[in-house]
Amino acid sequence: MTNNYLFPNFLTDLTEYGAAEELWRKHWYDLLKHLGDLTEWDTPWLNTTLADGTPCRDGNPIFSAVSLSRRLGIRVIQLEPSGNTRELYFWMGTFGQGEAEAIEELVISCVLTKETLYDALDIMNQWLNTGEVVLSRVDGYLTFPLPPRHAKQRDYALVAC
Amino acid sequence: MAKHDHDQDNDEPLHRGRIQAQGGGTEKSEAWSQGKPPTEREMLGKCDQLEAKLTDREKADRQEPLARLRRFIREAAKGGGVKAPTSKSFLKRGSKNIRIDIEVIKGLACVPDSEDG
Repeated sequence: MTNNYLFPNFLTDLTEYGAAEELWRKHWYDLLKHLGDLTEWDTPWLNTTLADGTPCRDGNPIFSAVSLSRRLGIRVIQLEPSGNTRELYFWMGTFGQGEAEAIEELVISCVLTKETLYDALDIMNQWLNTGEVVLSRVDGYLTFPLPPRHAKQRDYALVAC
Repeated sequence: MAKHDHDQDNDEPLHRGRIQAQGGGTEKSEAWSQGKPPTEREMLGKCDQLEAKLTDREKADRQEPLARLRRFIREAAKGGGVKAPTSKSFLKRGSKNIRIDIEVIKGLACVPDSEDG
Protein backbone atom coordinates (compact mmCIF):
# COMPACT_ATOMS: atom_id res chain seq x y z
CA MET A 1 0.00 0.00 0.00
CA THR A 2 2.89 2.35 0.74
CA ASN A 3 3.60 2.39 -2.99
CA ASN A 4 0.30 4.16 -3.67
CA TYR A 5 1.36 7.24 -1.74
CA LEU A 6 2.88 10.13 -3.62
CA PHE A 7 5.89 11.64 -1.84
CA PRO A 8 5.34 9.56 1.31
CA ASN A 9 8.44 11.00 2.99
CA PHE A 10 7.45 14.63 2.43
CA LEU A 11 7.80 15.48 6.12
CA THR A 12 11.42 14.37 6.29
CA ASP A 13 12.68 14.84 2.73
CA LEU A 14 12.97 18.43 1.47
CA THR A 15 12.92 17.37 -2.18
CA GLU A 16 9.72 15.40 -1.69
CA TYR A 17 8.16 18.31 0.18
CA GLY A 18 8.93 20.69 -2.69
CA ALA A 19 7.62 18.18 -5.22
CA ALA A 20 4.37 17.75 -3.29
CA GLU A 21 3.88 21.52 -3.09
CA GLU A 22 4.52 21.80 -6.82
CA LEU A 23 2.07 18.99 -7.58
CA TRP A 24 -0.75 20.73 -5.69
CA ARG A 25 0.11 24.06 -7.37
CA LYS A 26 0.21 22.53 -10.86
CA HIS A 27 -3.15 20.80 -10.51
CA TRP A 28 -4.68 23.93 -9.01
CA TYR A 29 -3.56 25.99 -12.02
CA ASP A 30 -4.86 23.29 -14.37
CA LEU A 31 -8.22 23.49 -12.61
CA LEU A 32 -8.30 27.29 -12.86
CA LYS A 33 -7.37 27.07 -16.52
CA HIS A 34 -10.27 24.69 -17.02
CA LEU A 35 -12.57 27.16 -15.26
CA GLY A 36 -11.15 30.14 -17.17
CA ASP A 37 -10.51 31.80 -13.82
CA LEU A 38 -6.75 32.44 -13.85
CA THR A 39 -6.67 36.04 -12.67
CA GLU A 40 -9.01 35.80 -9.67
CA TRP A 41 -6.78 33.80 -7.37
CA ASP A 42 -3.54 34.35 -5.49
CA THR A 43 -1.40 31.58 -4.11
CA PRO A 44 -0.11 31.11 -1.52
CA TRP A 45 -2.68 32.79 0.68
CA LEU A 46 -1.52 31.71 4.13
CA ASN A 47 1.88 32.04 5.75
CA THR A 48 3.87 28.86 5.99
CA THR A 49 6.92 30.38 7.62
CA LEU A 50 7.64 31.62 11.10
CA ALA A 51 8.25 35.33 11.70
CA ASP A 52 12.02 34.86 11.32
CA GLY A 53 11.53 33.22 7.92
CA THR A 54 11.97 29.61 9.05
CA PRO A 55 9.73 27.42 6.83
CA CYS A 56 7.24 25.22 8.70
CA ARG A 57 7.18 22.35 6.13
CA ASP A 58 4.59 20.42 8.12
CA GLY A 59 2.06 20.16 5.31
CA ASN A 60 -0.38 22.26 7.35
CA PRO A 61 -1.16 23.77 4.92
CA ILE A 62 0.78 22.49 1.94
CA PHE A 63 -1.27 24.65 -0.44
CA SER A 64 -3.50 27.66 -0.08
CA ALA A 65 -5.15 30.14 -2.44
CA VAL A 66 -7.42 33.13 -2.03
CA SER A 67 -9.71 35.20 -4.18
CA LEU A 68 -9.95 38.57 -2.47
CA SER A 69 -12.64 39.77 -4.86
CA ARG A 70 -14.85 36.74 -4.13
CA ARG A 71 -13.76 36.51 -0.46
CA LEU A 72 -13.05 32.80 -0.93
CA GLY A 73 -10.09 30.73 0.18
CA ILE A 74 -8.83 27.19 -0.21
CA ARG A 75 -6.51 25.39 2.18
CA VAL A 76 -5.06 21.92 1.70
CA ILE A 77 -3.45 20.00 4.54
CA GLN A 78 -1.37 17.01 3.51
CA LEU A 79 -1.34 14.22 6.08
CA GLU A 80 1.38 11.68 6.71
CA PRO A 81 0.63 8.23 5.20
CA SER A 82 -1.40 6.17 7.65
CA GLY A 83 -2.39 2.95 5.89
CA ASN A 84 -5.69 4.28 4.53
CA THR A 85 -4.87 5.47 1.02
CA ARG A 86 -8.33 7.07 0.62
CA GLU A 87 -8.12 9.12 3.80
CA LEU A 88 -9.60 12.52 3.08
CA TYR A 89 -11.59 15.00 5.16
CA PHE A 90 -13.02 18.31 4.15
CA TRP A 91 -15.03 21.09 5.67
CA MET A 92 -16.06 24.66 5.03
CA GLY A 93 -15.50 27.49 7.43
CA THR A 94 -14.76 31.16 7.80
CA PHE A 95 -11.31 32.60 8.30
CA GLY A 96 -11.62 35.73 10.43
CA GLN A 97 -15.28 35.25 11.35
CA GLY A 98 -16.78 38.56 12.42
CA GLU A 99 -14.07 40.57 10.66
CA ALA A 100 -14.85 42.92 7.77
CA GLU A 101 -12.36 41.00 5.63
CA ALA A 102 -13.54 37.48 6.51
CA ILE A 103 -12.85 34.75 3.95
CA GLU A 104 -15.12 31.76 3.36
CA GLU A 105 -12.80 28.80 3.04
CA LEU A 106 -12.81 25.23 1.87
CA VAL A 107 -10.37 23.04 3.80
CA ILE A 108 -9.24 19.66 2.54
CA SER A 109 -7.10 17.44 4.72
CA CYS A 110 -5.81 14.24 3.13
CA VAL A 111 -3.02 11.82 2.52
CA LEU A 112 -1.60 12.22 -0.98
CA THR A 113 -2.34 9.47 -3.48
CA LYS A 114 -3.51 9.73 -7.07
CA GLU A 115 -7.07 9.05 -5.85
CA THR A 116 -7.14 11.62 -3.06
CA LEU A 117 -5.56 14.18 -5.38
CA TYR A 118 -8.39 13.67 -7.87
CA ASP A 119 -10.97 13.65 -5.09
CA ALA A 120 -9.56 16.92 -3.75
CA LEU A 121 -9.65 18.51 -7.21
CA ASP A 122 -13.21 17.32 -7.66
CA ILE A 123 -14.17 18.88 -4.33
CA MET A 124 -12.44 22.15 -5.24
CA ASN A 125 -14.10 22.17 -8.64
CA GLN A 126 -17.57 21.65 -7.18
CA TRP A 127 -17.05 24.24 -4.48
CA LEU A 128 -15.74 26.86 -6.91
CA ASN A 129 -18.70 26.31 -9.20
CA THR A 130 -21.57 25.95 -6.77
CA GLY A 131 -20.32 26.70 -3.27
CA GLU A 132 -21.38 23.16 -2.32
CA VAL A 133 -19.82 19.71 -2.44
CA VAL A 134 -21.73 16.51 -3.10
CA LEU A 135 -19.87 13.20 -3.09
CA SER A 136 -20.92 9.65 -3.67
CA ARG A 137 -20.26 8.06 -0.32
CA VAL A 138 -20.41 4.67 1.25
CA ASP A 139 -18.97 4.88 4.75
CA GLY A 140 -20.01 8.34 5.81
CA TYR A 141 -19.48 11.82 4.55
CA LEU A 142 -15.94 12.60 5.49
CA THR A 143 -13.83 9.55 4.84
CA PHE A 144 -14.98 7.67 1.82
CA PRO A 145 -13.29 4.39 0.98
CA LEU A 146 -15.14 3.79 -2.27
CA PRO A 147 -15.19 0.39 -3.92
CA PRO A 148 -12.92 0.17 -7.00
CA ARG A 149 -15.87 0.46 -9.40
CA HIS A 150 -16.77 3.87 -7.97
CA ALA A 151 -13.18 4.94 -7.80
CA LYS A 152 -12.83 4.28 -11.51
CA GLN A 153 -15.92 6.33 -12.27
CA ARG A 154 -14.53 9.19 -10.24
CA ASP A 155 -11.25 8.93 -12.13
CA TYR A 156 -13.01 9.17 -15.46
CA ALA A 157 -15.15 12.05 -14.32
CA LEU A 158 -12.10 13.95 -13.22
CA VAL A 159 -10.19 13.27 -16.40
CA ALA A 160 -13.16 14.77 -18.22
CA CYS A 161 -12.98 17.92 -16.13
CA MET B 1 -4.44 60.85 17.94
CA ALA B 2 -3.51 57.55 16.29
CA LYS B 3 -2.88 54.70 18.69
CA HIS B 4 0.17 52.67 17.68
CA ASP B 5 -1.32 49.42 18.92
CA HIS B 6 -4.51 49.85 16.91
CA ASP B 7 -5.32 49.48 13.23
CA GLN B 8 -5.38 52.99 11.74
CA ASP B 9 -8.21 52.06 9.36
CA ASN B 10 -10.74 50.84 11.89
CA ASP B 11 -9.22 51.45 15.34
CA GLU B 12 -9.27 47.68 16.07
CA PRO B 13 -6.40 46.21 18.11
CA LEU B 14 -3.53 45.21 15.82
CA HIS B 15 -3.20 41.61 16.89
CA ARG B 16 -6.23 39.39 16.52
CA GLY B 17 -6.98 35.72 16.22
CA ARG B 18 -8.51 32.71 17.89
CA ILE B 19 -8.12 29.07 18.70
CA GLN B 20 -11.13 26.84 18.36
CA ALA B 21 -12.34 23.38 19.20
CA GLN B 22 -14.40 22.21 16.24
CA GLY B 23 -16.17 19.19 14.82
CA GLY B 24 -18.44 16.50 16.22
CA GLY B 25 -20.99 19.14 17.21
CA THR B 26 -18.50 21.19 19.22
CA GLU B 27 -17.74 24.83 18.52
CA LYS B 28 -15.88 26.55 21.33
CA SER B 29 -13.19 29.15 21.02
CA GLU B 30 -10.77 31.49 22.75
CA ALA B 31 -10.04 34.72 20.93
CA TRP B 32 -7.51 37.48 21.38
CA SER B 33 -7.69 41.10 20.27
CA GLN B 34 -4.97 43.22 21.75
CA GLY B 35 -2.38 45.88 21.09
CA LYS B 36 0.65 43.66 21.70
CA PRO B 37 1.19 40.27 20.09
CA PRO B 38 0.24 37.40 22.43
CA THR B 39 3.33 35.62 23.70
CA GLU B 40 4.04 31.92 23.88
CA ARG B 41 2.91 31.88 27.51
CA GLU B 42 -0.29 33.77 26.72
CA MET B 43 -1.06 31.43 23.84
CA LEU B 44 -0.46 28.35 25.97
CA GLY B 45 -2.80 29.98 28.50
CA LYS B 46 -5.41 30.33 25.74
CA CYS B 47 -5.04 26.59 25.11
CA ASP B 48 -5.64 25.91 28.79
CA GLN B 49 -8.69 28.21 28.79
CA LEU B 50 -10.11 26.52 25.74
CA GLU B 51 -9.48 23.10 27.22
CA ALA B 52 -11.27 24.17 30.40
CA LYS B 53 -14.38 24.97 28.35
CA LEU B 54 -14.57 21.42 26.98
CA THR B 55 -16.51 18.55 28.46
CA ASP B 56 -14.55 15.48 29.51
CA ARG B 57 -15.49 13.75 26.28
CA GLU B 58 -14.61 16.74 24.11
CA LYS B 59 -11.33 17.04 25.97
CA ALA B 60 -10.47 13.37 25.55
CA ASP B 61 -11.25 13.56 21.83
CA ARG B 62 -8.99 16.55 21.39
CA GLN B 63 -6.10 15.54 23.61
CA GLU B 64 -3.79 14.82 20.70
CA PRO B 65 -4.84 17.83 18.54
CA LEU B 66 -4.36 20.09 21.58
CA ALA B 67 -0.92 18.61 22.23
CA ARG B 68 0.02 19.31 18.62
CA LEU B 69 -1.24 22.89 18.87
CA ARG B 70 0.81 23.44 22.03
CA ARG B 71 3.88 21.97 20.29
CA PHE B 72 3.28 24.32 17.35
CA ILE B 73 3.03 27.34 19.66
CA ARG B 74 6.35 26.43 21.32
CA GLU B 75 8.06 25.89 17.96
CA ALA B 76 6.61 29.12 16.56
CA ALA B 77 7.95 31.10 19.52
CA LYS B 78 11.45 29.80 18.77
CA GLY B 79 11.10 31.38 15.31
CA GLY B 80 9.84 34.73 16.60
CA GLY B 81 6.14 33.88 16.32
CA VAL B 82 3.78 33.66 13.36
CA LYS B 83 2.37 36.41 11.18
CA ALA B 84 -1.15 36.79 9.80
CA PRO B 85 -2.64 35.31 7.82
CA THR B 86 -1.91 31.97 9.43
CA SER B 87 -4.41 29.16 9.75
CA LYS B 88 -3.72 25.63 10.92
CA SER B 89 -5.97 22.73 11.82
CA PHE B 90 -4.97 19.81 14.01
CA LEU B 91 -7.31 16.96 13.23
CA LYS B 92 -8.08 13.80 15.15
CA ARG B 93 -7.57 11.39 12.28
CA GLY B 94 -10.34 8.91 11.63
CA SER B 95 -12.87 11.12 13.39
CA LYS B 96 -15.71 13.17 12.02
CA ASN B 97 -13.68 16.37 11.73
CA ILE B 98 -12.81 16.58 15.42
CA ARG B 99 -10.07 19.15 15.51
CA ILE B 100 -8.43 22.20 17.02
CA ASP B 101 -7.83 25.24 14.81
CA ILE B 102 -5.64 28.29 15.21
CA GLU B 103 -6.17 31.46 13.18
CA VAL B 104 -3.88 34.45 13.30
CA ILE B 105 -6.12 36.98 11.59
CA LYS B 106 -4.15 40.18 12.09
CA GLY B 107 -0.67 40.97 13.28
CA LEU B 108 1.50 38.46 15.12
CA ALA B 109 1.05 35.71 17.69
CA CYS B 110 3.10 33.17 19.63
CA VAL B 111 6.01 35.59 20.05
CA PRO B 112 8.68 34.65 22.59
CA ASP B 113 8.09 35.69 26.19
CA SER B 114 10.31 38.53 27.27
CA GLU B 115 13.18 37.48 29.52
CA ASP B 116 11.92 39.55 32.43
CA GLY B 117 8.63 37.64 32.18
